Amino acid sequence: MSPHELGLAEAARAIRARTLSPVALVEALLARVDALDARVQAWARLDREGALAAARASEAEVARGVLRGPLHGVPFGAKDIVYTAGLATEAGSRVMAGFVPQWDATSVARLKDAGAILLGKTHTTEFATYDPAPTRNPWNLACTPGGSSSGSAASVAARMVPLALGTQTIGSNVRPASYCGLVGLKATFGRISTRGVMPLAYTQDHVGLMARSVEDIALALGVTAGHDPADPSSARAPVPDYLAALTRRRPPRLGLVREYFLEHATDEVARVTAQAVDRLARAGAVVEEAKLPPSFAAVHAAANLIMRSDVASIHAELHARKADLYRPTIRSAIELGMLVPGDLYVRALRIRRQFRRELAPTLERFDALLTPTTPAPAPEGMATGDPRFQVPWSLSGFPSITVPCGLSGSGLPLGLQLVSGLFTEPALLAAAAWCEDVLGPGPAPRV
Amino acid sequence: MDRDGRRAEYAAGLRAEATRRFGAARADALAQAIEDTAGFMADVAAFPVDPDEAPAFYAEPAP
Repeated sequence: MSPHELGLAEAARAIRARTLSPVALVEALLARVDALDARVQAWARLDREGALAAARASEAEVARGVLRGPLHGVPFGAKDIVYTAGLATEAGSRVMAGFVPQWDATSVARLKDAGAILLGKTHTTEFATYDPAPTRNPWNLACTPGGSSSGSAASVAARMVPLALGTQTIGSNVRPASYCGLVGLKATFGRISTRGVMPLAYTQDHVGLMARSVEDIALALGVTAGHDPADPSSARAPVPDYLAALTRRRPPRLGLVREYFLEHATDEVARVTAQAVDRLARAGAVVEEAKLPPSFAAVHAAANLIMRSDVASIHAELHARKADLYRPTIRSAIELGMLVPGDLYVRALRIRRQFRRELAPTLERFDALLTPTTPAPAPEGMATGDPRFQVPWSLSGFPSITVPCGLSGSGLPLGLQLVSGLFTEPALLAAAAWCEDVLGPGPAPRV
Repeated sequence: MDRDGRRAEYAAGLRAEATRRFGAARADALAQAIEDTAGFMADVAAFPVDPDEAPAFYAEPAP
């Protein structure tokens, strides 16, 4: 197996065992980028020299028997709204052209502290909204990889890097992960610090993880999760051993949500979902129908109003000086957000909490709720697809993960989305790993 | 007032305010965004929020 094909945990194990050189791994990934990225356009910028220097240092440390942490010598990518010290962070926007942070986002710092090596910055839609990045889907270059974490998804799918940081405020991590055949996690709100991530909506912003297996996600979550006193939204809940949770695999109790999700899915997605659910049930999963609470009816409107109001507040000063530099969709969101009445904004935040409260008893009955991840496979063109199946979990903060479950007739990946209660990632990851065992790992695209 | 009526009322208000703040040309460019946002506002306004429900901001209790 070529080094670029190794997943995160595989590469980390090989480096620890001294069967893989961090320098050889970085060189293999850079060669992969050089071979493919003119077509895929996953990377906004690479840090070739920095990554190679870090790899040489990692290699020297391995030779001395020193391992910085569980990701020693393994590269990762970071979405270009995530601060990286000394490396430009431009958010896919002319507004931020040339901006170079002087410090790392907490998520980046924690990965580096664990020994990981930053390979570069991945393309994002402008400020993580809807104005598209140039990135194409490695499964079909005519299609979007989804967004807003477009380059993060495409880079991991194209085997240019084994792990990438994305973000999700509406549907920006789990959806592109599914469109590209990956495992993608949006953990509980507050589980991974958002300090150093350009904000979009204070109460809905999440750092996301994208990799090619549930084990890789569990490994990365263990490194990135935890309280950050510099982030007022950061949770104080202790960080459990997520990898240990994967050793307790058993057939899960799954709550299949038919209403809304299967109603809005294409016939093909509904059929592939039904086939996957049938395989899970035959393998021993207990699958029962789960009902949504009344407040679900208002979650999409609430999430969109909150996002508009927050983005208006966040961008007010920049908009006053540079309105013409914004692309159309983000500019419209900012300007409409300035006009949303305060009473409706607060009402939307009350709906957020009511939905959390009303769904909690249903979540307690199951290890995870189960839905298709997207209504359809990745669409052709530049528009980044439909995020509606992620919106309820971005609004409420419940953790969600996608695992590959098959291919569409056009050869594009489809996923199953699992959702669980606040801070129940161990059970969620165990259920996802069990589903992954039954359904098989996602195949690699032929770029 | 039904949802469509409320939505139309919100859209008219948003358009007037957009014209005042950003000018008529910019308000025209925002026409679709105004319609979308008016729809979200109508849905949020129409939902019967529990009167005891407080807004959720940052801090949520850990388990």
